[in-house]
Amino acid sequence: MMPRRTPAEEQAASSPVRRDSPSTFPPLSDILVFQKDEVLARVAKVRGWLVEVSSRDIELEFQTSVRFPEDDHLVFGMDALNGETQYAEINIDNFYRSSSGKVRVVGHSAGVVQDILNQPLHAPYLCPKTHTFRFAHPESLLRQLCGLGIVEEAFLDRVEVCPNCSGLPTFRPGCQHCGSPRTTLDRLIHHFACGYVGFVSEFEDAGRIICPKCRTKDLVVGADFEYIDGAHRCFDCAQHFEKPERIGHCLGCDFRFPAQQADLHDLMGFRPKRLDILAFSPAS
Amino acid sequence: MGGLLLVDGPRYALSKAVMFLWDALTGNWPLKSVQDQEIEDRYEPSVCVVLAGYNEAETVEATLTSIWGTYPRLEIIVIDDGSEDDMHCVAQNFAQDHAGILVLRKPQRGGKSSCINFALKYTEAEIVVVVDTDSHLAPDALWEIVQPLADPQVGAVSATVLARNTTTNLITWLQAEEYLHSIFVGRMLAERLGIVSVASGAFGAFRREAVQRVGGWDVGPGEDGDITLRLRKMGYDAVFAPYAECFTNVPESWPALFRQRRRWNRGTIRYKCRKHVDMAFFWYPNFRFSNLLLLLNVWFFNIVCLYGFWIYVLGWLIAPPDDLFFFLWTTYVAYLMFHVLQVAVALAYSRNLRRDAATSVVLPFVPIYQLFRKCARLISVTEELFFRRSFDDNYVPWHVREATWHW
Repeated sequence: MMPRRTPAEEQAASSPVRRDSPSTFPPLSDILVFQKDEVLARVAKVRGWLVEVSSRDIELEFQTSVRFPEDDHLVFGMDALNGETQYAEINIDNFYRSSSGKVRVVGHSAGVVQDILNQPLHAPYLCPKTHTFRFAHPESLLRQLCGLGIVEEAFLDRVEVCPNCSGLPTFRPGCQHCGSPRTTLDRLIHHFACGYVGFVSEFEDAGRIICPKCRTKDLVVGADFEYIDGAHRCFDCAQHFEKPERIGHCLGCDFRFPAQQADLHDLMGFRPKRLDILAFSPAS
Repeated sequence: MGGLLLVDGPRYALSKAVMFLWDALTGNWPLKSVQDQEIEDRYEPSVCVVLAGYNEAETVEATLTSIWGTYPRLEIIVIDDGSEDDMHCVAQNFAQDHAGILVLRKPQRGGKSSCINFALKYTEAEIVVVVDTDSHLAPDALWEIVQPLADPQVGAVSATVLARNTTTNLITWLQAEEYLHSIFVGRMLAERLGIVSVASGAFGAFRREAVQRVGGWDVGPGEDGDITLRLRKMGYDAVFAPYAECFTNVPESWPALFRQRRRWNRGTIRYKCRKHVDMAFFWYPNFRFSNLLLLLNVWFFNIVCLYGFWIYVLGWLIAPPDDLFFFLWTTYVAYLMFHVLQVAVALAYSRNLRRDAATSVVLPFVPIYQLFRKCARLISVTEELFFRRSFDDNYVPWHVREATWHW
């Protein structure tokens, strides 16, 4: 028993363009039905036609016995002139069996897939809370659509992310042992005459340079002593090291790690293959 | 003069033989090494090995490899003394793959003393071990060298330095044989007498606290002997760890060997006849009889006997004895016999009989080699006594030796 068409649907059915099947529009290809919770219900490859397009409604006809529950979403593809299959989504308002025995589906352009299809590119954005890259739509859905060919993956960028949470890190020179950026470079003095090497502070005495070992006073740089850059010292862990290492600090989970341990992450976007269904509506 | 020769010639052989007999009678032989100890009984202080080198890119990695991982509480500091080769990069690459190694670089060459003093600023280890960058250590050498430091009175430990390139040529083989007797057994004897005067720069251990009390290393050459004497003056003991073995490359040509011996002998005079002559002043509060004995030993055998020998030779040359050939032959055979006795003692204490016996096969050439050593010693002692030539030695860079005090 076919459901009855509402008056609005009847009015829509009498819209400017109406063709009997087989349509003069290009035939439809893949038919995908989505449930309301955006989970793919089934995929079918059936013969279908675009019957009617108006600014409000879209009517499709299928040579199938498949039932299309109301409020489900139907994604259908159509081969474009360039050979690429493009897609559109409708929210099923109604369906009935036509006089020729085919199933006709009436709906309007809506749904999450259509939202996806309506944007030229889905690029990840940086979540301000977790500092990880995310998509406006569930990535699983995008990947699912990608697997079905409705969107295609596009390389955008390659970034270094935290090996712990894939969050975005900042990088800075820091301690090789604990990663702290609170480090300082030791400055030492080598007194030639007695061979003593000590920190500059050991030699400074009321504005004079005095060797703490042999007590020679008023040393002259170059002739009596030389400055030496020592090791870097960490204020946090008190370790010393020759050169600060490039340290990553994850903005998301606060994890510190040597930069070379950062994960290289390819930032991929999703480019929809959108079918501009309104292009099939008659010009006013 | 002949009397002096009779004292000088057999002194090593006879004293070592007496030492061996004493050890055998008192049950002190065979000597104990760390291998004889239970692991829990071993003294295990924190150790910092300092490798200071100049243009040692070719050898530093092998040295690091021989040290790293041989001791549990170990840190290694490599100081590149302003090298012009890739020593710094080689050490750095090694440090990237091995934990506990700090590599530092000085902007210009400053000498070994300044490098070790530089390293001292970056360690809190109880014991500082100095190793030459062209040497490598036996697997348990660090364990062996730290054991005597369990006694808080000990400030410096001397180790056995052996030749690594023994079989390169006759010169290296003779030096290997010499090291076996003068270092391995010779220092064992010196320890018995309490007159160990040097913890070799090639491999020596020092108590860090003691070294800091004396202000670190003074300018060289001969800085290893200098600091050992300064520690002795401070009241610390210097001892010997016979089974702490280090293998080093010895000079492969006569001129290189001559230069090395000149440096060593000049250092002996510089420190034991001038800088630390106050060790003999009995009215000083830090006077110790063993320190006086140490100086007397050097003054008598290294100066009096040396000049006595050459005056005696001069006498031969001026008025040769009628039976010169017979006399020389008798002297040679007698010397050889005494040396055989030394070899026997060395082998009695040896833990590697095969190696040390093989080293000793150059025995017949040793008397000739001793003549070379005596020549080198005569020249270097004379030039140091009268001209202070040790301050012209480019072992220490010019700007440093110009600035330092000329003892």
